[in-house]
Amino acid sequence: MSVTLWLILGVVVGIGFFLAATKMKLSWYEWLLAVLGTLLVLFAIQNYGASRLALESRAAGLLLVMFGLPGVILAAVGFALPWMRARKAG
Amino acid sequence: MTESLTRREFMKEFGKMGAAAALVPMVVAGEQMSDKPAGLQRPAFIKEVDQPTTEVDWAKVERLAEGERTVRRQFAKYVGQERVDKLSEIQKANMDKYLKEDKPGYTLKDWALQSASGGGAAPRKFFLDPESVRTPEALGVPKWSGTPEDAAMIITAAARHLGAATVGFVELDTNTTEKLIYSKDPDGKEMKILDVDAPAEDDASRTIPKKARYAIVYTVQMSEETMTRCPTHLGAQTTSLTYSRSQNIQERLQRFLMGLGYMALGESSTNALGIAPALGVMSGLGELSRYNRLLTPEYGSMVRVFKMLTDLPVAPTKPINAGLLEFCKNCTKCADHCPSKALSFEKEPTWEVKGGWNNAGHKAWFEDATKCRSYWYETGNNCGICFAVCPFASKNLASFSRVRNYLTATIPAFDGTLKKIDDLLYTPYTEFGKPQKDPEEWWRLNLPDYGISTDQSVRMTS
Repeated sequence: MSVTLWLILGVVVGIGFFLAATKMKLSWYEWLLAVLGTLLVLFAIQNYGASRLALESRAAGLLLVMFGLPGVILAAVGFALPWMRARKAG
Repeated sequence: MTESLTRREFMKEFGKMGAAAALVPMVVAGEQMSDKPAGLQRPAFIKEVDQPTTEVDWAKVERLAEGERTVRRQFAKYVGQERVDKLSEIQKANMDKYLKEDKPGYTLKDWALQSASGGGAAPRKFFLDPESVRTPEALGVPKWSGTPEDAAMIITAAARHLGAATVGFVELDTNTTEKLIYSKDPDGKEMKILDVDAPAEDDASRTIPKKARYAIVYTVQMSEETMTRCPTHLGAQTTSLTYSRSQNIQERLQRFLMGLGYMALGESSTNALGIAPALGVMSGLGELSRYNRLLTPEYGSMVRVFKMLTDLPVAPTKPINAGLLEFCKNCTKCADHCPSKALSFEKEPTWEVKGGWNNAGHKAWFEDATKCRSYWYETGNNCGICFAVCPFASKNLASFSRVRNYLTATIPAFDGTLKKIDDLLYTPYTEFGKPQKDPEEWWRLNLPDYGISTDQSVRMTS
C-alpha cells in the first residue's frame, strides 16, 4: 500500500485519539478496547490492500472481514461508551 | 557553524548538516549489513540448528546413481515398457484433444509459451573451458583471497545479482554431506571424487577434485501466478522457465568463480551433480516438506534448487528450523490435492522408502514417483499441483502471512488452524486436480518481469 495512504490513515487515527484524549474521558479498559480495535482495523486494511496487490481478491475480502469486523466493534465500543456516558451526564 | 552567518552561508551549513544526518544511518546500516551474507538475513524466530529437522542416519545414506535409480530416467524399469507405451498413447490423444478444443491452459498460445520458456538458455556444462574465462592467471594477478565469510558474502551477492533468490553453503564431509553428490549423473557417467588438481570429464566419468569441498546451493524463484494455473501447459512452463533461467545463472556463476581463480563445477544436465532438496536442507535454505521437496521460509514452495561445487573456502550456512516440517505433519494439503495420490498422508515422516527411486537413510514423506510420473503423461506436462497448493506458496505481501510464518515457527499448536485458514483464503472451491486460477485470466494480468517479485523486502518472513 502506498505511503500516502498510510500517512492519511495515520493522521486520521492521530486526530481521533487526540480528540478522544482531550474531549472525552475514557477509562483504562475503554482505551484498551479503542487501541485494540484500531490496530485490528489497520491490520485488516493492510491485509486487504496487500492481498489485492497479490491478486488474491477472495483472500483480501475475507481478511478484511476477519480482522476488520471485530476491530470496528471493539473500537466502536471503546469510543461509544464514554460518548454515551458524557451525553447522559450532559 | 561560523558565527553571524549570511542567509547563503546558513543554507550551505544547513545543507551539510542534512547530508551528514542522512549519511549516518546509511553507514550504521552498512555496518550491520556486512555482518551476514546478504539474502540470509532472517528474523530471529527462524532458528539456525546444528542438525536439520529431517532426521538423517548418515551411515545408511549412499551416494545415489541418479541415472539408474530415479523414475525420471528409469520409468520403464519401474512400470514396464508396455505401461509406458500405453501412457504415451493417452498423452498423445489428450494433447491432441485439448489443443483442438482450446482447453484453457492448453491453447496454442500456452503451447507456444511452454516452448518459448524452455529456450534461450546457456548449455549446462560440468566445467567451463578455462581459456574462455578471464582468470586471474590470464590477467597476471594473484587469485582472489579473503576469509570464508567474505567468500560467502561475495558469492551470495553475485549469485543474487545473477538471478538466484537465496544462497547457502555446505562444506562436504566424506562421511556425511559428500554422500549427497551423485555416484552417477543423469547421463550415466560415474561421478568420481579423487585427489587430483583439476576436474576432468570423459565418455564414462566426471572427476571432482577432492579439494572442491564447498557446495554452493541456490534457489531460483518461480512465478506463483502461473504455478497456480497447474496442471496445464501454462502452469508447467513455470518450471521450464525457472530451469532455463538457472542455466544462465549457472554459467555466469561459473565464470564469476573462475574469474576469482577457483573451480566451479556445475550441473551437466537438469538435476545433475547432487540431491538438490537434501543440499538445500543442509545449507539451511529450507526444510524438507510433505511433498518431499524443499520448502523455504522466504518463498515457500515457489523455488527450484540448484548447486555448484568450488574449492574456494566458504563459510557454511547452518540448517534451519522454521517450523515448516512440523507444519507439514498437520497439513496434508499437497497430498489431498495430488490427482495421482502419490504423496503420503502419514502424520509422521518415515525411514521406509516407497521405491528404488528414493534414497534411504533419512526420515521423509517418501512419494510414489511412479504414480506421479504416470499422471504427467495424462496432463502432458509436469503437473506441479503439490507446489501450487502449499500454504507457503502464497505471496508474503499481506501481514497475515508474516503472522502465519511467526506462529508456524514458534507455536506448532496453531498449525492445523493456519492450514484451515489457508484453505478458506486461497482454495475453498478448488476441485482436486484442477487449476486454482483461470488460465485464460493470466494473459490479461499486469505482472512483473518473469512473474516474480525480486524485491526481498516484500518477501520477508516477518
